[in-house]
Amino acid sequence: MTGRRPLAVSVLVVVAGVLTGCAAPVTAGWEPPSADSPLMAVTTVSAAAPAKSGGIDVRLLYSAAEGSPSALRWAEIPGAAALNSALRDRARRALDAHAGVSGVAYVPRADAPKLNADQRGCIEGSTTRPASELLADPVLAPQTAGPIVVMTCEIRAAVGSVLVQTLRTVTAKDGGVTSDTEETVYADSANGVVMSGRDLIDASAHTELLTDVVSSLRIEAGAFEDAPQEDFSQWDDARFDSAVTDIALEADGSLDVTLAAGFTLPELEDLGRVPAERPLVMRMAPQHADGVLSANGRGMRAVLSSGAAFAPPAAPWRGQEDIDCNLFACLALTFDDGPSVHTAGILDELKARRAAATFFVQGVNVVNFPELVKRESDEGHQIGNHTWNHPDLTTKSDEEIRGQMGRDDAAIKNAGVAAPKTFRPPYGAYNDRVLAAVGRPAVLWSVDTLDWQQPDDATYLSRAIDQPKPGGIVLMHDIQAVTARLVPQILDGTLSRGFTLVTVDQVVAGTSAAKSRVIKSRG
Amino acid sequence: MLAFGVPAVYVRLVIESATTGVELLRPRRRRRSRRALVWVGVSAATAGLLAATAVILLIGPLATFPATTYAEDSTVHLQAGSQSLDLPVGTSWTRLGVMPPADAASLVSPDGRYTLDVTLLPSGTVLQEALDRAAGGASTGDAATFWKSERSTGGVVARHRDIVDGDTTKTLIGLERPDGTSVVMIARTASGDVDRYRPLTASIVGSLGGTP
Repeated sequence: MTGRRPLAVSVLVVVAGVLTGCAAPVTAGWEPPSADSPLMAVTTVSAAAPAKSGGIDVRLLYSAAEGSPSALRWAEIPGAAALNSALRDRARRALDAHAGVSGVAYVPRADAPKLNADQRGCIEGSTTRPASELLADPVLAPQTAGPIVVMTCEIRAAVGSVLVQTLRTVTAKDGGVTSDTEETVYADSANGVVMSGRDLIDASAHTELLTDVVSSLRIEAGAFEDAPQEDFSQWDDARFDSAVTDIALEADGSLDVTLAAGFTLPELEDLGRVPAERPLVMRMAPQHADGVLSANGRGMRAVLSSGAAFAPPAAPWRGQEDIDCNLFACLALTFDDGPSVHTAGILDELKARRAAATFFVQGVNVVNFPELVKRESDEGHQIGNHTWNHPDLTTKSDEEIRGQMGRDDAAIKNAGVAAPKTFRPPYGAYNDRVLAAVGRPAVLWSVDTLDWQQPDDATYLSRAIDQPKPGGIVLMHDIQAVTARLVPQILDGTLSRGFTLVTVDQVVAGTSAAKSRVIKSRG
Repeated sequence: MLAFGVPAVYVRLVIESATTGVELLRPRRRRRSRRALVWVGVSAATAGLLAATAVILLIGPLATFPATTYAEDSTVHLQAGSQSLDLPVGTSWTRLGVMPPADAASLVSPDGRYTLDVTLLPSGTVLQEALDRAAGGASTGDAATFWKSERSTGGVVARHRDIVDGDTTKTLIGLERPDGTSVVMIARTASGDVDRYRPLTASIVGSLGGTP
């Protein structure tokens, strides 16, 4: 009998072993149902083209006015007047709305805190930074009290004749952000078409787009059911616009849909999805975007996906542009007594910065450097008469005055440039008799750098950069070596404050000063 | 009960029998009787020991024993008091357990990488309490313990959350069905496969009316 005990134990162990060793049978080749991939995914947008792309002109308005600060920037294509006008209208609308909030009418100022060329451009990341961070950055926002409006830009693409940029407008009051919106603007310089990203899709596609967006968010949140519970067909355009703040095409044809900060739905909250503090960008792959793009959108996508080099139209010189000095902080730099051996260098510096100036030339020097006068004119600068050889006209007879003016006009015409319509009296000396004899307005100045006194650099730069106010006229001489040497710093310095450097005619255009006999500034 | 599962009554019987034998029987008979009694006692003790060991060893395996592998699409009927549920089961799925409880079923996917426990709750059971018990505690309000909730167009509410436990992730799901029944499901799979098998869980939820 004792031999049966090990046997029983063995049987028990075997049974237990069989049972525990049994696993469910495996069917080869079986696969669980595949997951529905979301059509869209949350993404971050990066600038596709550098802000300094040739042919792009970023405009800056920067006012630190107490009680109503503002700072706006956007990218223009020089020579594409219609689209530039459309872009400026957006800036004006933002400023008008801001004036309505602050109660202070907009006046151009140049209060920027000495921004370098990169800081004056469309800054990468500025449309995605938290609003509070953006408002605390003096490069982008004046740090003065009062309701504020800030518009920033990022270049998304510059392909063929098309420039794509995202404009972000942030307003704040009493330390709190009151609005934060984005608009991607598509500007085609070939046909002047400027359209918003929302024009890329048909209104009839709103429901489909929202369904794709929310379905993707549901999948990302781990929902069992992809289909949204919300019935988007019941949403009107206003509700769509409050949810979708921007739509943008990427160069590869994918579509970026920006949802408003804080966008949510009850069904998303039930899935534990926390509303984003910043606008949320969802990207749709090109093959899916086809279904929602409008005809305009498909046309724009064809251009963007061509990969063509940016080909802006031939740009006019700054001095040839139509500039609204009620919007921009204009400043007219003037150079007297030339041309001289220093003039070509000054012209080079102006050209490099897309800046305009006014040259009051003396006939005795024009005959020595006629090609420089011609170049001044060709490059959009204004030419003014500064007499033949710089006498005090108040001491001359009417005939002598007319002789001084006439000889200079002739020299200028001989250089291939039309006779000037303005003049600057030598030493600023004039009287009614002089004005009557000359018969054209006398252009004086609002800031005299006194460069002929050879001031030290700091004094000179302070006069030329810090003293000017918008609409001002600055007096310098292009026969002075110190001026030629400091012109790069003077140009950069004035631009760094947010000035647009224009001619005298441009600075007074549309004002009573343009019709006065003596011009000292815009007024 | 003494150690190793030997009932005390048998030990006492052996001792008492040996004592009385000395007094009443002749030496040979007395020896045979004593031997028989010892044999009976030892046998009983061994049987008890074996029975106890069998119970211990087999309870687990019996519960997970692959009892049925379905050759075609089928239905598992669950009953909890007056509540009932017909759970569709696909071809090649396997139901575990010998003599499983009437209100629950454990299923294994055909690839053996996904298990699903389905329990039909009796009437009157608060679903969220059952879910919290299954999760090992109530939500603390943070994202990790948040119960996601979806309401289908069919009116079914599904609450669910994932609980990662090392290499395995449990997806706990509670369903409130329009007919008043409540179901708790626990899907288990390798943590790296959760997203791959989520559509499977979703389809099972759908088969119970969780999605339209």
